[in-house]
Amino acid sequence: MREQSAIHLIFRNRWINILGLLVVLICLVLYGYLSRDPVTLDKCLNNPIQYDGKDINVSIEATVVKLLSDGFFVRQMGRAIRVVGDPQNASVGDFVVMLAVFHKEGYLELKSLRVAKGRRLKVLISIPPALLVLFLLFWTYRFDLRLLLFKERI
Amino acid sequence: MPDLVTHFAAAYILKVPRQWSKFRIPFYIGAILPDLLSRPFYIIYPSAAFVVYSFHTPLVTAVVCLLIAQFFQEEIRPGVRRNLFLGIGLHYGLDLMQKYLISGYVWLFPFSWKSFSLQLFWSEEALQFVPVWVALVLGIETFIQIKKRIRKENLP
Repeated sequence: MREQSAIHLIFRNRWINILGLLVVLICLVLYGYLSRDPVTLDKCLNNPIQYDGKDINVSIEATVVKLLSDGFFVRQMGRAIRVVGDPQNASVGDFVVMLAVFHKEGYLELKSLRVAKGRRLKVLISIPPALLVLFLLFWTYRFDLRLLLFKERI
Repeated sequence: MPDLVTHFAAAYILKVPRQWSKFRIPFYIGAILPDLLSRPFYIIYPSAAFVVYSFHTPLVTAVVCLLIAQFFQEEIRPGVRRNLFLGIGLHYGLDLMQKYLISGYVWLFPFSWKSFSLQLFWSEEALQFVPVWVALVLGIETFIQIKKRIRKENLP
């Protein structure tokens, strides 16, 4: 009975809970980062022979920088590369998501492509709801700086 | 992800009935939280995507919800926690409907890297309904405020 109340008391301590949750969170994020080794454009361009013929998923913030007669140039994380394949309805500046095969000569062979038209607008219109929710949070609750707690406004 | 207007509007509409409207702010926060924890970082610095993608998974978001709830006073903490969870449930429910070209979200992280979705719409397709969502939210809110004012005026 005494042991149970000791455990109960530990879990009732807010700062112990916060510390425990932060440790779990850091472990999960680190595991996610370290256990996945994706093929990136940067890795392919740095070691072209090693990644020759490998599938590459170019999806994170990749944009079309130039259209060519047989393809286009795409830029991702500061690296640009030529892509051979149908650019569909892509224009310069459009965000794209694609699956391609890397070739050691320094180009990508397109397997599938999606042009994310409207992505910029999507990002822009997502800002006001985030600000609105932040405003409503401080409108509804008062933040006690001393205790680091949100309290209901009376 | 659908845009945050869609996520917020869905949360707002679900919280309109008066009996459900308590703790609506934590519900709204939950409804936009997975995107807030991941998108801004890799939009600004794309290499961060490999670190922050796990914040857009149910387990990690649930841990963040538990953490956020600790910053609310004890009396309201269970309600805040519950509504944060319901909000992220709504968020992932909408995300689950999306189409993906290559791979979607890893719902079962850290136990599995498999992803699945209902493949109903592309994420940018939700944009065409944004004016409808905005009109609906503004219309409902105006109606509620008018009703409140009438009720106040009719009080003896």
